[in-house]
Amino acid sequence: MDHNEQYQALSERPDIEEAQARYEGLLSTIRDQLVAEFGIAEWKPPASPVRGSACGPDFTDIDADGEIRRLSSGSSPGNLPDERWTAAVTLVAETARGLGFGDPEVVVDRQQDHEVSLKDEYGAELLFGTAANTTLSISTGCHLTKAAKERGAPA
Amino acid sequence: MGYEVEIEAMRAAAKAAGQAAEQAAKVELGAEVERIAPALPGGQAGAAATALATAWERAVRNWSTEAGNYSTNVSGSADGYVGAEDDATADFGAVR
Amino acid sequence: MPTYGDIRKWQPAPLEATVTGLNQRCDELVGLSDELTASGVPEGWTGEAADGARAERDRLQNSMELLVAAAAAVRRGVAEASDAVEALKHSVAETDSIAERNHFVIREDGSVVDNAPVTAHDPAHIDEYFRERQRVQQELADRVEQAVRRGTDIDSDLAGVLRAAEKGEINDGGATSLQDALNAGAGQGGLSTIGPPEDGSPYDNAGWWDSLSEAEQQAIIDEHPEWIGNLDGVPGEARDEANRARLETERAALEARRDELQADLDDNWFGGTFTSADAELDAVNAKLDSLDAIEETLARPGERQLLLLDMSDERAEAAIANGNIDTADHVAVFTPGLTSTVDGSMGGYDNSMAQLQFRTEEELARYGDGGSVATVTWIGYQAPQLSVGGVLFDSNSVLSDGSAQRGADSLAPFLNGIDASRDTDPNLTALGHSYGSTTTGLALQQNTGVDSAVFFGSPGLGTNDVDNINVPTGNAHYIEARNDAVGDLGYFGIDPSHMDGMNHVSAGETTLPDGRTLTESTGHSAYMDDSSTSQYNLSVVVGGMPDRVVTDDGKGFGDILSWPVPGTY
Repeated sequence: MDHNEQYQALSERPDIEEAQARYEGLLSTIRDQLVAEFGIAEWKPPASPVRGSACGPDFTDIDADGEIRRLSSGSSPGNLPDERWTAAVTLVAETARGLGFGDPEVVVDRQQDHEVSLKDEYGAELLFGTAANTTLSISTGCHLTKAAKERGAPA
Repeated sequence: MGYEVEIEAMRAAAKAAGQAAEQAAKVELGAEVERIAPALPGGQAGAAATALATAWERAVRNWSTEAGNYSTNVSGSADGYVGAEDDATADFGAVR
Repeated sequence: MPTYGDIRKWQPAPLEATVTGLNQRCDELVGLSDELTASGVPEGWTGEAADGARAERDRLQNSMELLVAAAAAVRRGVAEASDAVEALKHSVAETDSIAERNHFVIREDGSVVDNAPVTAHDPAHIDEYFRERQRVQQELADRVEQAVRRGTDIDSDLAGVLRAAEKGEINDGGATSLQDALNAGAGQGGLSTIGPPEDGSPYDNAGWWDSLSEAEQQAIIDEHPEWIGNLDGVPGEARDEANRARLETERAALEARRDELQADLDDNWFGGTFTSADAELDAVNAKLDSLDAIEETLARPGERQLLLLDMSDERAEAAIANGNIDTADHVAVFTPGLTSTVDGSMGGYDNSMAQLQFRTEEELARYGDGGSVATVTWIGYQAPQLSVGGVLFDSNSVLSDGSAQRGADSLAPFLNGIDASRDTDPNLTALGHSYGSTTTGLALQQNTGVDSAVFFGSPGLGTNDVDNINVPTGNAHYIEARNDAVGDLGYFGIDPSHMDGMNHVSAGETTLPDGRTLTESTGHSAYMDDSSTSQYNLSVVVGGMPDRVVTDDGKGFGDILSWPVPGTY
C-alpha cells in the first residue's frame, strides 16, 4: 500500500481519540465486573495509563497522521484463583465481543499463571492475565489522528 | 529677621546629623561577616571576610565620627551667627 | 585552594546567619535616610562656611551610599554562597555515602583508598568484581575532583566580592538615595555560574551537576541548554528539558543555512553540478526532516525524554527514551544499525521500543515485581548508509568498523552516564542490532556498568572472545534469525553464533512450557516484531528475568522445567 492507500484504509476506522475512548470504556467495564463478580482486589492504576507511538510495519508511511496507543490497567493485586479463571475469561470475552473482539486465544495456561489474548478487526490486542497479580491491557491498532481524519486526505 | 529662621534650620540639621552619627555608631556591620571565616576553612574567602570585617568596623566608626564633626560644625556656625549679626547679614543675604 | 577535607567542614548555617544579620544591618543603614535628609544644609545659608558644610554633607551621603552598596553586594554574595555550599554539602555527603557503602575511604586530601575486607571471590566472577571496584573508585575520584573544583569556585567568587567590598570597588550606580544604592550593590554581588568540566567523564559531569543548587541547575537549563543536553552523567529530565529548548534554535540555524545554500544555487548558472552546495543542501534538509521526526515522536502520548540532539555531523544524531531513565527500575538502550537515520528510522524504532517497554512492564506487573521500564532508541552515531546501487558489502566499498568505533566511544559514556546520574543504578541492558551490535560490542569492551546485553543480527561484535564483552558472566545474549545474511557475515570478529560463552537465544517459533506460542522472526529486520520469540527474549532480559529466556534449542536457559511458578517465589 502506498501512502494514499494507507490513509484510505485507515479512514474507514474510528480516529484514535474515538478508539481510545471506546477501549478505555471497555477496560473500565471489565475491571469493574471483575471486582464485582470475582471479588478481586481494587485495581491499582499505573503511572502512565496511556502511551502512544507511530504506527507499525503495516502503516509505515502514515507518519504523524497515525498513531498506536497502549492502555494499561495497572494491576489488581493477587492471583485470580485457577478454578475461577475460565469463568473470568468467559466474562471478559463476552464483554469484549460487544466491541468487536474475537475469541480468546491462550497465551499462557498453567497453575496460577494464565493469560489470554483477544484481537479485533483493527489489530487491537486485549491481554488479560493473572499470576502474582491480575493484569488487563489493550494496545490499539493504527488509527488516524482526529485532525488527519477530519482533513479528509493525507498530509 | 529671616536669618533667625535659617539658624533654626541649621540647628535642626546639626541635630539630625548628630542622631545619624549616633545611630550609625551602633550598626555592627563588620561583626556580621566575622562568621564567614570559620564556616569556610581552607579557602580565600575566610581571610577576605576577616579583612572586610576590620575595614567595615573602621568605615562605620569613621563615618560616625565625620557625621558627628559635621553636626558640631554646623551647630557651631549657627552659634557663631547668633553672636555676630554682621556675618549673619552677609551669609543669609539671599533670604531677605 | 580548599581540600576535600576542608569542604567536608564547610557549613552553610553561619553563612545563612550572616545573610540574616546583614539584612538587619542594611535596614539600619538605609534607616539613616531620614536623618541624612534632615541634616541637609539650609538653602538660605551661603558663603564659604556654608559651602564647606554642604560639601561635607554630600561626602557623608555619598560614603554612606557606597557602604550600603557594598553591604548589599556582600549580602547577595554570601546568600548565593550559602545556597551553593548547601548543595555542595549534599553532594559531598552523597559521595561519602557511596564510599562507605562500597568500602572505600576518602582521605582529607581527596585520595580514594580501597578498604574492602579481604574475602575470597568466585574465580568465575573475579573480572566483574575488579571492574566494579574500578568503576566505583573512578566515580569517587571524579566526584571528589568536581566537589573541590566547585568548592574552589564558590570560595574564589565569594572572596572576590568580599575583597571588592573591602577595597571600595562596589559602586552605587550613581544612586541618590540609600535605597537605590542598596539595589545597585546587590547587582554586583552575584557569584558566577560554573560550567561543566572540560572533557569530563560521566562521573565528572554527574559530580559537577550534583554540586549545583537547584536554582543554579535551572539557570543552566534556561541559559545554557547546550552545556548539558548531550552531557552524559546529567540526569535525563534535565537533558530532556535542555534539548527540547534547543530544538527551536537548531531549526532556526538549519533553516538559515538552507536559505543561504538555496540562494547560492539559484545564483549559480550551473546549478549545483560543480558545487558541493547541492550535497550540503540535501544534508541540511535531511536534518530538518530529522527535527520533524523528533518533534513528532516527542508529541506522542506518554513520557519521553530527548537525551541527545546533535546536528554537527553529516547526519543528525538523537536519542529518545520511552519512560524516565532517572527513575525506571529497568533501562534498556537500543542501538540500531545499517542505514539507520533519525529522519528515516526514529518513528519506527521508537514504536518498537514503546512496545518493548509496554510488554515488559505488563509482564512485570503480572509476575509481581511491578517494576518500571524505560527503553531508549539511541541513534548517536553515523550508521553506515547504502552506497550507490544499494550495496553495503562488496569488494569496492568495504564497510569499515570506523563509525562503529566512533559510535562506541559515544555509546559507552552514554551508558555509563545513566548509572552515574542516579543514586541507585537501574538494571541496565544494552541492545544492539546489526551494525549497531558491532557498535554495542565495542562499547561494552569499555567499563560501562551495563548489566546485560542482547545482540541480534550481528556482523560481529568487534571481538572473537565473549570475555571481552564486559557484562557479568552469563549475561551476554545473541539472537540470530533464519536467513539473516548480515548475521552470518562474521565481518567484525567471528559470527557471534559460534562464540563460546555466549547465550544463544532463539528467534524461532516457540511453544513455551506455559503454553504460550511465539512466532519466528526471519531475515535481518524482524527481531522486534510483536509476539515474536525474539521480542519476548528481549523483554525478559530487559525486565531482569533472564531465567525466562528461550534458548536456541527451544528450551529455557537453565532448566526450563524447573521454572518456579510465579507468585510462589
